[in-house]
Amino acid sequence: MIKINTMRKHIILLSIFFSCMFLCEDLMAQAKKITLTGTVLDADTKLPMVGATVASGTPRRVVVVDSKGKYSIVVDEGATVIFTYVSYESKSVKLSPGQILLNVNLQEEKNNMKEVVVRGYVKRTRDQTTGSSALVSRKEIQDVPVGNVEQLLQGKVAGLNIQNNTGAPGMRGTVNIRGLSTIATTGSGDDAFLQPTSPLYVIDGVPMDADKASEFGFDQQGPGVSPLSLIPQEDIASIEILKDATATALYGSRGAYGVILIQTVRGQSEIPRVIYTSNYFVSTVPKLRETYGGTYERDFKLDQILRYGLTDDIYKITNTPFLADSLSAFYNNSTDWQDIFYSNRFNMTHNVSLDGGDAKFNYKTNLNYFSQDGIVENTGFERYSLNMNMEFKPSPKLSFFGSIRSSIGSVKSGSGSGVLQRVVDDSGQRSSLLPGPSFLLATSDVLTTLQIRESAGPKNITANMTANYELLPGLNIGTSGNYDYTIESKDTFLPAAANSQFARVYNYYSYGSTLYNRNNVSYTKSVNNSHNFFVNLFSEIYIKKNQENITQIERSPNDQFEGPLGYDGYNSKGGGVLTSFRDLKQASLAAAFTYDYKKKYILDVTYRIDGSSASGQLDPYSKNPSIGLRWNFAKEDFLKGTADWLSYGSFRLTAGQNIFPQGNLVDIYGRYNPYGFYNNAARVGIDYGQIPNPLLKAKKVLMYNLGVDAGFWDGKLDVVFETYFKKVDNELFDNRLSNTLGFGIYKSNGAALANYGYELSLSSRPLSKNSAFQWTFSINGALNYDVLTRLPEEYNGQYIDFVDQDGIGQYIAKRVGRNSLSNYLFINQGVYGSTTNVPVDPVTGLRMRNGSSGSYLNSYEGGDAIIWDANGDYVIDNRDRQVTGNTQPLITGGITNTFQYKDFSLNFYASYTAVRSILNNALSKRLLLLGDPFGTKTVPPAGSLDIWTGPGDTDATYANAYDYEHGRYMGNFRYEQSLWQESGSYLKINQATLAYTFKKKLAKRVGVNGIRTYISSANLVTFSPYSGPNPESVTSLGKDLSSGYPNPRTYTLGFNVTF
Amino acid sequence: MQDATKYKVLILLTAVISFTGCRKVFDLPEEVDYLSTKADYNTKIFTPRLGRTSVTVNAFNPDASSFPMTFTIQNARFGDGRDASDMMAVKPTLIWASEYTGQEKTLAEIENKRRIENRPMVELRGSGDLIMWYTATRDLIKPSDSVTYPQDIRYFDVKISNSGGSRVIKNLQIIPRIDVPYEPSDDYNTINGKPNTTTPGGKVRVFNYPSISGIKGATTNVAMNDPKNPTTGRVYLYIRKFSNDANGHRLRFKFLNKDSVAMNPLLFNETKWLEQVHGFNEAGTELGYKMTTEYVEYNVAYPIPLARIPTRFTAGGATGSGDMAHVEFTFSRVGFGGVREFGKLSKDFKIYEKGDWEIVFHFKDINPKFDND
Repeated sequence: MIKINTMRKHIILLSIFFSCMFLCEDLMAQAKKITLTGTVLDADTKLPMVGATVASGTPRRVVVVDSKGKYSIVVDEGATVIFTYVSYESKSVKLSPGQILLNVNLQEEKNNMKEVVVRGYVKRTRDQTTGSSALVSRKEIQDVPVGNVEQLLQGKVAGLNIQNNTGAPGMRGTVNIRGLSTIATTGSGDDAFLQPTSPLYVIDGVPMDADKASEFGFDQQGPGVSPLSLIPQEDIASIEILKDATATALYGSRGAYGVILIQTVRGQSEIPRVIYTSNYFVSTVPKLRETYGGTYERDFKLDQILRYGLTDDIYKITNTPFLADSLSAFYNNSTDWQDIFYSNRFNMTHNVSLDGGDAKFNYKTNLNYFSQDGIVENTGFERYSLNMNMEFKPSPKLSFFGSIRSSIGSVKSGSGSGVLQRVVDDSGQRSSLLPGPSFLLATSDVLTTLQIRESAGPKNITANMTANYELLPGLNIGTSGNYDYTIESKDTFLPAAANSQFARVYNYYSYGSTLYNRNNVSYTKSVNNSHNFFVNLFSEIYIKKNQENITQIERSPNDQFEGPLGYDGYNSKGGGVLTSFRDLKQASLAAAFTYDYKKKYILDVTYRIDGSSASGQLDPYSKNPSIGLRWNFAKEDFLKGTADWLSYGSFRLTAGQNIFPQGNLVDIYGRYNPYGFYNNAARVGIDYGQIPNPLLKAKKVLMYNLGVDAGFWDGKLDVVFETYFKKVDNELFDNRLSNTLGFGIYKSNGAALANYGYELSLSSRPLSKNSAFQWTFSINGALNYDVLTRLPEEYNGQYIDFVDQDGIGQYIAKRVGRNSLSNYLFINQGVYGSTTNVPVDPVTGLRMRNGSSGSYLNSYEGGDAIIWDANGDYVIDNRDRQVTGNTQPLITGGITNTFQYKDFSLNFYASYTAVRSILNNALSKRLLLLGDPFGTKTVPPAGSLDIWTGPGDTDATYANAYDYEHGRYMGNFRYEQSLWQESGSYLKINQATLAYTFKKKLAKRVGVNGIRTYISSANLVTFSPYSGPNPESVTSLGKDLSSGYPNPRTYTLGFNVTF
Repeated sequence: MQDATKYKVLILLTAVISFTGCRKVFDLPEEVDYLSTKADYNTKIFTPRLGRTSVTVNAFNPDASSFPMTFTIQNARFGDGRDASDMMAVKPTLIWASEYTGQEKTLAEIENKRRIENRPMVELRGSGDLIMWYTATRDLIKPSDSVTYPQDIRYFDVKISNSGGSRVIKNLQIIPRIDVPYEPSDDYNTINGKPNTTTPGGKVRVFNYPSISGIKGATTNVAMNDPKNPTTGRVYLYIRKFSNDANGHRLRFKFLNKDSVAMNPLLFNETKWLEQVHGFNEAGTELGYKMTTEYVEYNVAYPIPLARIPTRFTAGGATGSGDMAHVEFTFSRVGFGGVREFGKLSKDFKIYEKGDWEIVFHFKDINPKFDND
């Protein structure tokens, strides 16, 4: 019985075995293996898609595309092959029987939601993030060589307001994410500027302070090159801009102004490859101030004197040789002074990038040389950099990433300070009658610009190491550490001939270092594939040091003696450690928790505790929570039927808080000075200028964000709409103390402001994906209102800094309830048509007067500016000023247009700024030049301006600029009036590029893998109602200084060769 | 599907609307004018002269408060609590409508530049400055004495307001001083309005003196350079009314010799009569004057000068300050050795009060020498 049973079992087993055998045979007969080969190319650039994966079959067989774009894979005949690459649309192709060759073009993923982003150092797809962010791809920042890659981000992201307000090579403009983050202004008069609040840059996980060079204003000491200028644009793989508190929460204690993540290129080619990029570009001088030359200038001045001068002035002509003695060779010139200082420049850049490796080990090296001579004589920027990184995954559980970046910058700023070129501006205004510069004839300021010798620039090295280990499935521990060390130096030598017969030596030296460490533990868990949890705990430590020293010898013994220097105390000016000294320590502990249900509902919660030595020692900690929700509503069942037109759709709602440490040692501890000895005891006492505030808090930024993302018709239209409210609290404010208190000022956290606004981004690819002609169009815009919400109690809602900002009288007014930074100006209401139009004081019978001097000469008459007498006393004085205008733009945005036809592509990038008042000081200066016919300054023709023509001309814009004898009593062209407050709206064509990618065959023939060549032009044209030269070249407080560095237009010819 | 679209649009709309009202939602403050807590009067005690229009300048320091602002006088009272709002009584007042230039060809042309308006005697203008109009005279407002008692001081409070709120600045004072109808007023007691004496209540009178130059005494042949010197000959100057007509509009110049007998004005043979005062003929239709053997008379508009505007009739001419009217009466004679010598009698003056005034130059001791040598 037992035997029978076993037999039966055997038979059953055998029959199973055989049936299996038959089945397998059946399969084997079907699965004829073939070796499929082909190339995988980028559909747009036709470059090989190195590192793309080709997969087929079960079990899945995967190969990687090599550096020439070729692959070879063994698959079953007629199988389906899938091609994938990160951020490209994957393609699956069913092979036809007998097919052994398959060439594939991969299309870049244009569906915003599938982009992979790194959030809090953890990768996620964008449809899983709750925060607000935007991605700028490598392609958008390549074809125009710039000293600072930030310039190219202008107009690319809604809410990222970049104003490239200087054309100085290597310098940077202003960057703000979502409106104002500070109301602190420093500097005086023209030089007043808004404290920069640039976002935190994180480059491959290394935080970088981009404001470092600019935090002390235009006339800063040192070379003034932003650390950002040391990063070559060719080395950047992608840039992501994080805007709201939930997105920035994980970037810690400095993320309050937003975060910009820069990912550099990684090795991604099994066979090492070399990419060489070279640009040749010409910077051209924009239109400069027009002037009368030579005899025109003399005739104009003489005519003006004869027409408007007093009797005495006519006599004075004979004592003014350059007007009277037209035959003297010395005065018989027509010198174009601006031409001496400004000229077109030819420049070039070279970049070599080597990379290689696979997913287990890859490396990249990028070697860069960038050189740009400024259009102003004796200015320019050069950069040499060597960046390397490598990634190593010895096992699936363990991974390392390491990088070293080293760069040397060299900057020349001539006689200016980089951003400002005051001496050049003054010299450029010189009368054309004067002889041009030669060593014996030129005045010292001209020589200053032309003869100054300068050696300046930053040298930076950054090392970064990250390690990650998976302890248990889902449980990761990681550590990351990096160190950044920068030294900056500036040595200038001004020869005696250029400096009142005594040579001047200036030396600046600074070092700054940042040590950063982060350790984290994270755990992911998925329950039933529908409930997903993620927890991350991490700690962060920052140690930042900075010290700057200068030495200056105003009068060195002679031109030959440049050092070692030692001289008497009187002429050794300046020196010692500057107030920028910093020894900052920060420590943070943070936790992040994410939960999602079927990727439909996502919840993000973060909480961090930040301690900073920049906050008052009595309460250095701040607690910063954030919460974010996302609802991918397009995945809901009730919208199932809409899949044909609605590709994705979601709502995001976030709220969170972030900080920025803002105090310095003096603010918290006070400054102590040595006061000599008394009874042999050293006396050290507090400086009474400022009382220390041990309770000083870090700046707190609270942000709410509501966003809607939607995609329609499979990438034909993508829409992102966001609205936000951002409250900046604990803003640092200098409270001026009563003079009975002993101390001068007290730094409080008494001010606050708020921003709210809307951002809209639309991008569209209206044509079919398969058409040879491709058009991508996107437009974005941001509307931001800022409101000052609080000032210290004692100011009762308004503060005007008369003390620090004196100079030209253009005070900045801060009034609660209004946009935070307004102007405090006289209101100009036109021009008096004739003297009878001037109001007469009914009490005294006197005409409206300027100033309370009481002199009849100060009475207004026909042709003078009508200035609003707000207080009705028929005297125009400071009490008539009004708070007016908004120095910050309300609307910013940009437009991108890309056409592609086969191997050609044509790009247009434009950006716009609207509703902003800027002060046209350049025009004011220009009209003031007309009021001094005896001066040795040039005469700019003003014929095109609407200047008062004579009695009865009631609708002129500008007062009579020629009547200099009367005009000097009237201040018709005073800087501090609303006449100069013009609309600063503009639309700028940032860039136009035409690129051509050579046919593969052709490239091969010259022995390379690919060639791409392009011509581009940057800063092409600006459309604006503004009457000055360029509405963008204004300070962060909206003042158009004629001493600014003009933005050049550049034309570039570039090559990109892959070996 | 349509339902779903509707649903989505609805959510979007709600979101947009709720955020559009951000100012409301987030309780952002509204902008208001600035009213500084430190805004105050620099001067809290005003001592205007009655009978002339006085404006304090820069009396109010706004400390950057926003104008326009309203100023209201409140609670006018004397130091002992009596009501003092009588000073705010409204009077018909001549105010300027357009500018006086000194180039007017007729009296009517000047009058057309002024018009009557009802104004309180004391008011605050838009800048906070205090105006006391010339309509406040000693008949209406009691002037202060040499000693000021609190019960004679007019106290008032000023309410300043703009959209930023309002504040009351308390206890400003007006201490009106007796009117002085003309200047120079050395012969006028500016405390009690009586003829001035060297000591209070004294018997020795103080006089006004003109400026003289190049004039020699008829009997002494010595230059009368110092009008106060009895040995070379004193010259007094009287500014006085010759009628009681309150609406008078005449101004006479008279020259008295040492016997107080009027000299013929034509003795001042080099005088440019049309350029002495901005005066007109009797009808007021053209620039002119009435010449008699005793005086020269102009038909004028008061006050003189009309405004603080430099004209050819004011001291320093068109480049002067325009503060005082200026007259100069000159003559020439052939001096010793056939030299032509010029004598000049001049004075800067002001007259605030309307009326028939005469300005008298009195050669007190020695007559001037008009004859040729």
